[in-house]
Amino acid sequence: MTDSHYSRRLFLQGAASLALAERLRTIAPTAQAFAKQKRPMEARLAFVASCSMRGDKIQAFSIAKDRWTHVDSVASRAPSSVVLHPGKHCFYVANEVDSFRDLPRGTIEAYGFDPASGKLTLLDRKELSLSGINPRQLAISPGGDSLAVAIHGGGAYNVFPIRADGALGDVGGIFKEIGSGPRSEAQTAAHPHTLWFAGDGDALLASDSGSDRISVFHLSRAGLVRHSRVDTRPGLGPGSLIVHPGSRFVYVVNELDDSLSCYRFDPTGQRLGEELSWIRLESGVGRGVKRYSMTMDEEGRFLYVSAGDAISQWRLDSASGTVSILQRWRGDVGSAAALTMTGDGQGLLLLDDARDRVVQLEVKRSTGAIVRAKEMARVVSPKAVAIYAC
Amino acid sequence: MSITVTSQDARYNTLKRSRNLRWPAQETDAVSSIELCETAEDAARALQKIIDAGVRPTIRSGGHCYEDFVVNNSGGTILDLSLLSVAHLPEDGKRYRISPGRQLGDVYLDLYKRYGVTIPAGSCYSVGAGGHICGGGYGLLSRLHGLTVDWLSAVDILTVDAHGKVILRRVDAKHDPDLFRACRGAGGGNFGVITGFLFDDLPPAPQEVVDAGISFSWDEMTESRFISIVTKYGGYLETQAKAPDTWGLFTMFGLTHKSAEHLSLSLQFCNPDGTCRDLSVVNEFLEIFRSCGGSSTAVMAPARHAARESAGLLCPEMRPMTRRRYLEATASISGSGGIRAKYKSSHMKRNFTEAEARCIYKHLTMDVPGVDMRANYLAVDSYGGAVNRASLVEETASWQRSSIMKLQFESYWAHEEEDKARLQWVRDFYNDLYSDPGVSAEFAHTPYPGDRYEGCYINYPDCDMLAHSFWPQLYYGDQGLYPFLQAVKRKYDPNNIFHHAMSVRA
Repeated sequence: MTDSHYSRRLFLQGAASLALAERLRTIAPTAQAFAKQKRPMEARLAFVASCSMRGDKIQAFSIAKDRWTHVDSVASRAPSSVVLHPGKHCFYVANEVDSFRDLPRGTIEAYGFDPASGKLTLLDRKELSLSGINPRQLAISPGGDSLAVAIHGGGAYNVFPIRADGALGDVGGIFKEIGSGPRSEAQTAAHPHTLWFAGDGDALLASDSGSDRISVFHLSRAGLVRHSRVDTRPGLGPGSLIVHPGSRFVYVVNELDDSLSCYRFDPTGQRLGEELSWIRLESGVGRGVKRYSMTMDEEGRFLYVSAGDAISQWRLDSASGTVSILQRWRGDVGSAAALTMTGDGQGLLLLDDARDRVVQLEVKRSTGAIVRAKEMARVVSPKAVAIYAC
Repeated sequence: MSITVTSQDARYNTLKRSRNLRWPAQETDAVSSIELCETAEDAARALQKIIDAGVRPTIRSGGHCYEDFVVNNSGGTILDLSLLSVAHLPEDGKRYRISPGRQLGDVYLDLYKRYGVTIPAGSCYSVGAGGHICGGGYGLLSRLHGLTVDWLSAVDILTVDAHGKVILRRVDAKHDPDLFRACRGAGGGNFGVITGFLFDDLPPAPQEVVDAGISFSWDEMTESRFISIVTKYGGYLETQAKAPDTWGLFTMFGLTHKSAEHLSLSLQFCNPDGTCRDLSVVNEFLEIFRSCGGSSTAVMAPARHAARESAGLLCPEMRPMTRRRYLEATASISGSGGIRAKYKSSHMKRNFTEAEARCIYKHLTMDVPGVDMRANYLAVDSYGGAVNRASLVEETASWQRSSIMKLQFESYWAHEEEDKARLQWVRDFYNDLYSDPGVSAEFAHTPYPGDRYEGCYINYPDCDMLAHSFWPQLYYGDQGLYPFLQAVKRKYDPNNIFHHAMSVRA
């Protein structure tokens, strides 16, 4: 018998995972700690999600200084997001599908990998809550005990417990988002976009481009509970979201408005505060292509926003949170599907799905400026990437 | 205020379950709470609370859903309307009102005692009006008076707008007519929470009915005899039963597994004027089985219901019948529940072919090692009559208006260990029956709408059908009803709050 979907068994599993994660903190860095370390490039792996007519797959690459080497591939339906576990040799994939076993629901997958060879093993595949279709983004708690899913099509958030072996438990938290906005072409219903665990993972921030809403959730035995929320100005379509190190500021790309907002965040009270700044992105960026990706350097000095074939670099004021433009870069890029930091302090990775390749953008350490682009791997229609360093 | 039942409450473990004990299939599928609502206002407040908390609501009136649509709602809340059962007070001068939580048996009693009218709804006494009516509402008087939704004048329904606000609407032919039409047959759990069905007019309750039946022993059955009996039955429904003077005849043929020892054909009849003065229709019907042997019975549906009435025997010509007061006859029919079960359905526009009858015989005589097959059967109910008024196709969401028979494949059992074998038997039976050479390969294993079949009944949902990409056409036809319902869904439930495995997918 269980007294809720958070059964005692799940609770103990979660507790065990937490305890394990606490131990791992001492022997293995968390994701954020990973990001802060500078590692040699020779001991790393990349896991790239790609979707094409020739088959959707997850590909593993061994990363060398100048080139990635393909080491393994596994089929995976419409992978849209990849996140690495902070302490285990596994990662998680969102499958942007609208049906699984004849029901309207997407799925997520857990993969294990051999850190030496990069060989992949499917650990688990879990269905999302009913009507939770087309998930697009995943976030993993810093302790590595929970995986959160932003379900674009179904207008919901799901949270899954992560077991000691890296596999997933049954969905343990479900939040059905409801709302709409004035932009009928994109806002007839809620469309959860991005999730981000802030601080120690107590707060889960979520943007919703369909309902013009940014929420702060927390996980409890009762499930996924909304602690607070901010309704943005109507029609902004808040999408990509990043919490600044220190958790005082939150940056959000407004996808329907082609703008960038900065909000104050109170990590103790788990509340999003006032909008500190709002800056138009469209000038010189993207030429009307409204597919944005955003990433931040490890120290929180610079923000990079991709849109189409262009990237803008913004300086972040760590005291006030305000942003100012530093660079607008347009190189030999077709269209950026995703932008992320390489994790080794060397620069950025850009997934160019128009030219079927992964590109590394070298940045100047002192200024953060993009100085050159280099193709690292050929990947048909890359969508998402995660980097592992041992 | 609604009554909130959570896991700390002693009622929780009962109320979280379905009457079909297969659901929830696992503990993690179960809801976290149940909100019991006694008024429409309760329901509105509870629904708003559920929405605001980001929780998924599922709706229950009587709890007879065959599939897991209500109780498979991990962490969600059941909005239980079984206490929302206000009696039938007329509104606006002449309307009859039926609350969704009212059980059909009580509906018949109330309508009869207060007004002398009835609804042509189902024979299962404890079925809740909410799910039954919005899926069409069909029963023993349907050949005489049509479906219950054919009489429906308005619906009170709670919808949730794009911003998450609960709105109470009264929809009818002039106000939100698209939603009103959708509520007339598309099935429950799709668009909102119905808190009342309103009728301007209802048919008078019959003064009396006669029950009769024939029992055929499996001991004396052969394949050829079985085929003869079954095709005689279907042949009557395909021909003579189309005459309006027969519309008061409702028949149920329980094609039980051979281990149940008897096949039971039963009927209820009254003349269109609500009397039983002229029983020539009944005699004509029974006469066609004279050459088939069998022993006459004078009770309604003995295979399904054990009720037996000995008083008032009437023996016109050759067959015993029981003349009964309408209300007594209706109230004595009971329902099922509290057991594991699987159901499938189909509508038939033509009599059984010999091949189909042979296929049915094969599966009803098939033994499954270790399984008691007595509670496995195919119920073949008469259909048509007043239901088949073509004009109602466009007015309602009940589109099956050409059928002569409605088939329900049923299996009941007690223990989870038998699930696999039971389900396999039903599935094999169904797939085999619809693998006839007359079935297009594209639509094999289904009664896809066409010359012979008219799909499945949404009130007898079967998630096995989800394996077919064309499952919406099985339940809603291929003449544009499903796209219409999808548009209604987008308009009135833009955030897809009300959903289940077979809900309309926008």
